[in-house]
Amino acid sequence: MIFIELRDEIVKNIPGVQHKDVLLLEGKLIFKKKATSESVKKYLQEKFDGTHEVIENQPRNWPHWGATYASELYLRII
Amino acid sequence: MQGFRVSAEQIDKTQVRIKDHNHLHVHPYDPEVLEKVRQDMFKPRTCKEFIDWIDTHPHYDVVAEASSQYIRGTDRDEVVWNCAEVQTDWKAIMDKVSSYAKENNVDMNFNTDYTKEWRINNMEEQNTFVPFRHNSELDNQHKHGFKKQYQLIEVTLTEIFPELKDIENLFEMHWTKTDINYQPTSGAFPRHVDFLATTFKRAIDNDPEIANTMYDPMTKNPVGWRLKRVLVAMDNWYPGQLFGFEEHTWSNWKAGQTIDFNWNHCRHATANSGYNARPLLKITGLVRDDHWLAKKQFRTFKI
Repeated sequence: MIFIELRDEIVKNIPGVQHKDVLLLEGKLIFKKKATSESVKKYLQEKFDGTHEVIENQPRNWPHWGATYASELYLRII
Repeated sequence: MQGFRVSAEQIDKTQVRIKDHNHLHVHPYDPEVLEKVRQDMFKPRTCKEFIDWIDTHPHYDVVAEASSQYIRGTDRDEVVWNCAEVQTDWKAIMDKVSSYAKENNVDMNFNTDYTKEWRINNMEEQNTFVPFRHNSELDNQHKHGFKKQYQLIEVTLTEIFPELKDIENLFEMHWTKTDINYQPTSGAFPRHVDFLATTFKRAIDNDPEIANTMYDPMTKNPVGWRLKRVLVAMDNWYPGQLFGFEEHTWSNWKAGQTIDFNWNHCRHATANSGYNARPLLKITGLVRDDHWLAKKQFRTFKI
């Protein structure tokens, strides 16, 4: 499972989501907009139904970052 | 641009530390910075152009992080897998390695600092030994308190361990480089991904075909080739010895058990919180796409 390939798939299959809306941080997808995160979460839940749980967290926003983030998602093998 | 990562021959002449830590990026890295570096990394380059880009990049640590495409939730068999079993007299080998380590204070003196020496053959001068690191990486590790990591005991460039060279040859790699990755008790090497740049650079410097081959930033390999690193357990696992691949672990190994792993995308980290040294034979080299290791086949060797 490769981030760039998964992001391409997400952008292709979820209307309105662009590459810049889905970033990667230490194995987790991270989003500035909660709405984007919700759409991606739903997509991932369907894609990984029965094999992975989709975990959503509110990320810690660090002072040295240039932007703030509303949500992060990662997968957990069931 | 001045090189921040240099060859062994150059290391005592031109290595430049980033002394101002304000210049370093800080963990966890800014996701937008990682994205920007990732896009730069994906520009088409030959292997020579790529290694030059890495060599002169002031933020190797950020490039490494950006190069990782790992997503948490990846199956373990995509992360670490058994690739071989090497059946030999490991006890005799370990007796020799342990004596060597004792004679040379390997367990006692291993602060990972900026010594000018690396992978030297004569261990008598190796009281403070540093495996080769890009300075931004080493600075960042020090900043987080990782000052005692592991020792590399040279195999390929010496005649001290001919039996280990025989094992090296079993894997039929090109541009092979082998060390004993010897982690004394209390050693800890923080999570990271690799480029296997030492082996890669050596191949590029000596083989124009590889130098001019396009680099695949997705797989972090020359097109048509695979950079491989296998780890052969030289001793049985002792409780307290930790080897992590993000959410996965490798544990309870037996001497001779050999793993291949996703060095290019999955961050990995080691620590020896036990009371016995942890020696792994680290064999790194290049193989073609049709090599048995590239095809994830398993081999048993008796030697």
